[in-house]
Amino acid sequence: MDQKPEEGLLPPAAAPLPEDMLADLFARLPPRGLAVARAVCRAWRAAVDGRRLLRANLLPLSVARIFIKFRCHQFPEYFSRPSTGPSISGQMDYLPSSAGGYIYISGHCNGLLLLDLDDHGDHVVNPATRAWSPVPPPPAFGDDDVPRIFYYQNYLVFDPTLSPYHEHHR
Amino acid sequence: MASAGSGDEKAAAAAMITLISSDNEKFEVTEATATLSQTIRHMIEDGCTDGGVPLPNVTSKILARVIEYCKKHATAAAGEEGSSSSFSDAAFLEVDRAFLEELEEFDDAFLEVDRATLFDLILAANYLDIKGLLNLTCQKVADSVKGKTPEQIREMYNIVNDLTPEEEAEIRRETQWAFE
Repeated sequence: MDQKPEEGLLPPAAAPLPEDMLADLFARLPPRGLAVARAVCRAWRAAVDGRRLLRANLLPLSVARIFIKFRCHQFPEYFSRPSTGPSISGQMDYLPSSAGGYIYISGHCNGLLLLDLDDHGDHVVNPATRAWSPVPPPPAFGDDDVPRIFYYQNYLVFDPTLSPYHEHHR
Repeated sequence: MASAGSGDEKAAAAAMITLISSDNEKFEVTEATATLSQTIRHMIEDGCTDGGVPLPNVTSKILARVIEYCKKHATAAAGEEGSSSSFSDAAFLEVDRAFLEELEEFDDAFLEVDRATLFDLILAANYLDIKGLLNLTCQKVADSVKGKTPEQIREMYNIVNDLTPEEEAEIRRETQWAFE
């Protein structure tokens, strides 16, 4: 078996582990362990990145902040630990329905919110940047003779490891 | 082995294989022990084990440990086969459970080796294709790095940090949550 020495992994008197065996090892680590392993040396980083072991887990898995929507409040309330960073607010009065309309959070994914703005329809909002955009209306069902037994439900999927931009899917 | 009498089966179980380490030491093991290694099992199936099986990647020190593991686990496998027909018998289950516990204790004690030996065992288990041993040793290393900082891991396994400060900073930025 031809083993080329793996740089940076030299336990005393022990052969360095080839990348596929490192990957086998790392497959047993939780995301935090993988993230730390990447910072050990180049060979370890290559083993984690080469198999994309951390790809699906690039985001924090701990709860740092939450939105709570009270039925009697117009806007959602935002709870987070005190921080010196840029502040995020549930006070989404920059949205088109701010004139007294209620905001309901109907979905969320990795920092983006899918909001139901009463009579203004669904919107996607990034509460950190205050950027928002309306969800485009669903395509017509076509033939008007078809009984209206179908309806649309919007879902939000946002994977910043794939793209920092979001797209609408139905 | 043309006929399949019970005498022949016994003979097959007792058939001995000679394993030769990289430093030319010879180890006599039963076929049941040797075939825990898929690599050796295939060699036996291909009929190329006459005159011994040379294992140029495994030192005698490591091979002795690997054989120790295989002997124990081959006995376990044989025990399982023997008791499978009487699985409803509570007494047999009790014996099985005790044996599994003993096997677990054996595995724990087996892993009490220095880190260099542990790495050598992983390499040998991979080369010889012994799933159980590879699983055991890899899990041991994985458990040992859990909850450690990169600095602690480098120290533990004598790993040279060849990342530039910029690369390190980038890694920490990418997954800041893991370093908090």
